[in-house]
Amino acid sequence: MDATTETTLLPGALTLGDAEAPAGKSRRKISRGLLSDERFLALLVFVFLVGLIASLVYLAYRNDRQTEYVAQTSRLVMLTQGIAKEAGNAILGQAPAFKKLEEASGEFSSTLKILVESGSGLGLQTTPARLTYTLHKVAGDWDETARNVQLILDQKEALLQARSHVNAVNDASPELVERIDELVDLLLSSRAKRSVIKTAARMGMLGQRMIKNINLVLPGGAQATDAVALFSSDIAYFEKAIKQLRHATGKALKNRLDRLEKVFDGILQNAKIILSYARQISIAQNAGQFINNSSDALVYKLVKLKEGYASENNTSLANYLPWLFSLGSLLSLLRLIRVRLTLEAAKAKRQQMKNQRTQRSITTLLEQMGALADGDLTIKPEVKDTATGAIADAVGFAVQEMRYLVGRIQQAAKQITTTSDQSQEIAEELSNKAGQQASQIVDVAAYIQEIARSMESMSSDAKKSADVALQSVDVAKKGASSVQATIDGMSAMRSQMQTTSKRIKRLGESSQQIGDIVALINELSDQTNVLSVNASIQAAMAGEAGRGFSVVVDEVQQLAERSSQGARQITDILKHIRSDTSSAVKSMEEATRGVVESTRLADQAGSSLMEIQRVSERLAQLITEISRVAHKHSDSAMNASQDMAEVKNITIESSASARKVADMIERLAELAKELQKSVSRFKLPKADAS
Amino acid sequence: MRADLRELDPITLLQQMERAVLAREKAQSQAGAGEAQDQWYGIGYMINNKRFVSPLKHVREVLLHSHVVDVPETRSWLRGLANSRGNLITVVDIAEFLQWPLPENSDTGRWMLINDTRLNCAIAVQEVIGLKLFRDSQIHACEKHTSDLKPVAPFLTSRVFKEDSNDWYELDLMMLSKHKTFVNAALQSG
Repeated sequence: MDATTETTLLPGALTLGDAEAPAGKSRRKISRGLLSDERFLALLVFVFLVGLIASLVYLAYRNDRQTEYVAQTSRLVMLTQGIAKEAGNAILGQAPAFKKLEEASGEFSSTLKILVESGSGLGLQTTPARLTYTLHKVAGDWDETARNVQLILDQKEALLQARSHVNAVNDASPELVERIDELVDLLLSSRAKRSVIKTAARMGMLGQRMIKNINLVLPGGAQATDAVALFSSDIAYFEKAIKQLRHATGKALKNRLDRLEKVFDGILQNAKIILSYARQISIAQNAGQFINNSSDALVYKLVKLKEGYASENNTSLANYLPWLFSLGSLLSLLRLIRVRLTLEAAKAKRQQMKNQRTQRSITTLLEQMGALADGDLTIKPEVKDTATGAIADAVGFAVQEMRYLVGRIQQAAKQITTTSDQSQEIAEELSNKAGQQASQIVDVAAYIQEIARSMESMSSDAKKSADVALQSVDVAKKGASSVQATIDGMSAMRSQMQTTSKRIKRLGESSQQIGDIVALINELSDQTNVLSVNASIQAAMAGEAGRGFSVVVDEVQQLAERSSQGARQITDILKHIRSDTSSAVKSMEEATRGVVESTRLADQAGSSLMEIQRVSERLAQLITEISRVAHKHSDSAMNASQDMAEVKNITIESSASARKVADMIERLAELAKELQKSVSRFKLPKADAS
Repeated sequence: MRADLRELDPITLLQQMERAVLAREKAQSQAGAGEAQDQWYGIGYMINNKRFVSPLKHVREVLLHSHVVDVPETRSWLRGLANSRGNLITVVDIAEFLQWPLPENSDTGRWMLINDTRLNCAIAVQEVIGLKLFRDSQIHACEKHTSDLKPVAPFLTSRVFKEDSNDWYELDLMMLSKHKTFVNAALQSG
């Protein structure tokens, strides 16, 4: 009950707070409402914090990029200075300078290219637009410088050669000085003329000046031009001086002068070679001059570019973003804390008021419920809009339910009293009928036993039938084997008959042969007859002498006639034999056909007997099955009979139980009366009691 | 008996038989003498299913059929010429000569060579029965022959021999061989 009131009260307090705000400024009301919402404020804090982190990450990234640009630009400045220095060295013919110059130039080009092509190689962002102009100017200056660097590099060989010859001259210079000093010493010792000694001393001064001037050629500039001019005049004077000395000293110093002249010639040769490179040296010198002059301007521009890169971020609004987000999050956090504190205070106040109201209503409710304890069910607790309102409502509902319940109990007790009387009668009747049922069940059990007995006898009969069927199977088997034997006999007979038929045919053929022989005999007897006739004619011609012979002839003729007659008889017999033989053959053939037909019929009989055998077997199986089933039924009937006995017992038991039930119902009626008495102490409104 | 016969040659056999027959006849003649005089021998034969007898003297030999060659320009009843042991003989079909229906060809047909020295002629008969012996009691006179014997009547004698139900007519072959028509076998030209 507490939980429900709290949940309903809390939103009410909030709306009450809102209702106090001025109605006109709806916009401000909404914003204030939002700013009073804790969840919204928390969200705001979170959003500001996320913004802060994002802006910090962005700035860190941007600083990295800026630093890289500045570093690259510084590198360019350094390279520019290096190039100017190395160009000077290169012009002086220093070999390592060329390499350094080339390297520095290449690095400058590649770095500048990276900057110009938006720093793609460094993974940087594009150079800001306002610096692009400066960058392009730097690139223009660099193109000029690079071209001049290339000019110097092109003159590498000439410069190196010139340098080596200058060195050679420098190497030769101590010897020259030494020779001249020796010459001066000799002249002094030989007490030469003063003018001669002076010339020699002047030669020493000239030699040193010549060497100095040669060294001035390579650095170039106005000094170089003057040096070349002075050098030419010095040579002329030097040669002239040597001639003067030779002339003045004669053979005494010839060797010395020769050696001096040789040294001087070497220097002169070198100087000539150096001067032959004059044009290349001049080009290199001009280029060097240009580089030197333009380097300052380039450096200035690069420094400006560097400053541009460095200052790029200071102007951006993004720098203030972290501060903005920090401020925002701080403000929203403060607001959140304040809102929270306000809510807590309002809640505490509301709780106190509620507690007081609840206490009052509880006291009222308890007063009303005092009557209920005395069994007065007529009370109706007052329902108010307080904490106990719901309790009072529930108690009222419970009392109403109890009223209804007590009324129902009284009614039910009355009904039970009337119903239990009826039930008692029914239970007694049930008990009697159960007794009757038991006797009927005994009768049924006897019938079932009788059925079981008849089933058993039927089973035995069926067994006998099955035996008979099996006997018939045996008989059919025997019959089949007899038929098979018959068939075998038939086929033997057929082959026998065929053999006989062949023999008879052969007999016919033999009789034919006999006929031929008989025909021969006939012919012979005919001839004998003719012979006898002729003999008798001869005998008659012989007269009395042939008389005896004629008698013989007569006998012979008779014999011939008899043999002829015999032959005729044989022929007749043979005819008979032939016709008999052919009819016998025909009969044999018919008999063979008959045998074949009989064999077929016997075969049929055999298969019929097999069928009979199969059917009898099946019959035996079926009868056995019937016997088995009948036996099973008999068993079942027996079981049923036993079950019936049990049913009988149960029925008797149920009769007894019904009796007990009747008794119990009687007790139940008594209990109902007691219940009615107990309930009667509750006081009910008039309408309910009726 | 059969063994004995085989062992003997035909001549010896015939001599034995003659001796046996003579001995038997002698015994018979002693028993009833004179009986021999009452007998008449002849050759019995058949033409057109009719029985005839001729005296033994009239017949020289009975021959079996042998090959015959036609003789051109002769009567139809002259069958032709045949060779009998080197002797040329003329064969006459007696049935056709007598204008009787021709007998069917059969094995029984024989030639009878007429015992006439003037001409070697044989007549083809239906069948030669063999020797016929008639007693006097069987000989009857016959003045007039029946119409069916009319063609042969000129050559018959007036005697007829009765044997059981059969009548045997005596045919005079000499008379036949001398008859003008029989001798004139050549076909009349023109």
